[in-house]
Amino acid sequence: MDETEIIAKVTKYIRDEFLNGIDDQELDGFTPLLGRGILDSLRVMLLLTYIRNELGVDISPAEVDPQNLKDIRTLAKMVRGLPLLQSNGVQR
Amino acid sequence: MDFDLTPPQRKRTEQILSAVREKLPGSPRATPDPQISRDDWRTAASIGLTGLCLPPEFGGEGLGALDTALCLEAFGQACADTGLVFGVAAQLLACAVPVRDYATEATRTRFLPGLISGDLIAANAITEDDAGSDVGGMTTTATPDGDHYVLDGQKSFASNAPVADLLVTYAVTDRSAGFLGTTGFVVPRELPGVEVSPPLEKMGLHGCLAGRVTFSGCRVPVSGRLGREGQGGLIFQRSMNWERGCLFAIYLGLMERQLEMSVDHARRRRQFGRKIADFQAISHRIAVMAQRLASARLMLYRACWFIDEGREPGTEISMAKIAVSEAALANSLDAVQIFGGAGYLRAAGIEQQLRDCVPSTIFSGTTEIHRELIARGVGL
Repeated sequence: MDETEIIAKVTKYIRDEFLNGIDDQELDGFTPLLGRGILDSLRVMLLLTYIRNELGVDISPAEVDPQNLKDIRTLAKMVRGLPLLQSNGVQR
Repeated sequence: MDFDLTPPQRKRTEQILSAVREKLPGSPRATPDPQISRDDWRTAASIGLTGLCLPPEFGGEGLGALDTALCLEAFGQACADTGLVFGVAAQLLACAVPVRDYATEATRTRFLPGLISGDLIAANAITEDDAGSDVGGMTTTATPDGDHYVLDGQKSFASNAPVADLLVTYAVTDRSAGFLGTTGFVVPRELPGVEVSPPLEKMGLHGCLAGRVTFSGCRVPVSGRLGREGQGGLIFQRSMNWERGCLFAIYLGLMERQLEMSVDHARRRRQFGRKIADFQAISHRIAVMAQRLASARLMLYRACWFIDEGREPGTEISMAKIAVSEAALANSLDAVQIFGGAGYLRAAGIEQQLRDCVPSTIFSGTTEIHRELIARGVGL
């Protein structure tokens, strides 16, 4: 999966799950996720679970910081650089 | 799926029950002491209770979350000084666990041996008067200054603080970064700029002193930081998973002891020419107590199993925390009713159990906050 595809999937997930599917709030790859309150403690966990289950990439807690989660584009770049999980959940 | 304890789990909990009954207070602390007993704390440490889930290379037991919960449940069952049990568990889960997982090697080497041996006591200082459930409203700041951070602000409800040797605390490093704008620190109590209040007066848990902590230009070296800058919210959340899972096992132990006391009392106490156990009003009340305990125990064990499996236990932890704390409170009220007038007097220790259970629906996230988390976790 390339970065563009990851950006599209994560954007749709955030819009549907965290913004109630409302389209009038600007959300693209550059939208700040933290400063505007789009991500809070629970939503960070839900997003990581979505990425693990739907994109097959496990983001370890050590990689969760304000730099890597500042916007969807940066997040997608990190996800793209991490190994895919095997079907049994073990990192390849 | 196997609901039995393994032989090593059974052996370990039996050893703790036996050692705690022999060496630690068998009766509750009915009034607050200006000091806790360092001897009791060290005794708990000598039984291994301060190092259950900490690395063996520092003297800990290296247990997972479920095994840690089983041991703390035994501690809570055997020791009637629930405040002491709470203080030890709070240190282990809210202070030592983040040090274990996120501190520098130098910090781990400096503090973990003392925390495990009982020579050091730690307090978790995150709550503020205006930022309880709303951690995002935290006002304590940490400002980078060369190879230090400068901490300014005041924390409240810091369990163990009046007797603590070190503090695990969290402060805002980037207000614009929200949840990822706070950073965790390990702060030795003796650093200039740290002031701890006398113990707060509270309803129960008298064996655990709580106080305010004020940081005034307190310079903490960068080496005292937990994880990277901005990871404080995540680190705290993960330590809370351990606290909400394992610490609440002490209330399973309390409920087990309380149930035994209630059954024993109902069998012995006679009214109208027969045991009060023969009245369904009493026997059914005790049956409901047993049912609440059993269901809360299963939920807590499952939440701890989630932690051990490396799965994110958010909703399960919240459900278990609510189940245990509300069961403990309801069972304590039932126990007072079963004991009648004796339950209202201090001597029987029943009213103390009630006072020790009241805060359980408040600390580690209120029931209301956890219901909100569950609601959001299921997609609302």
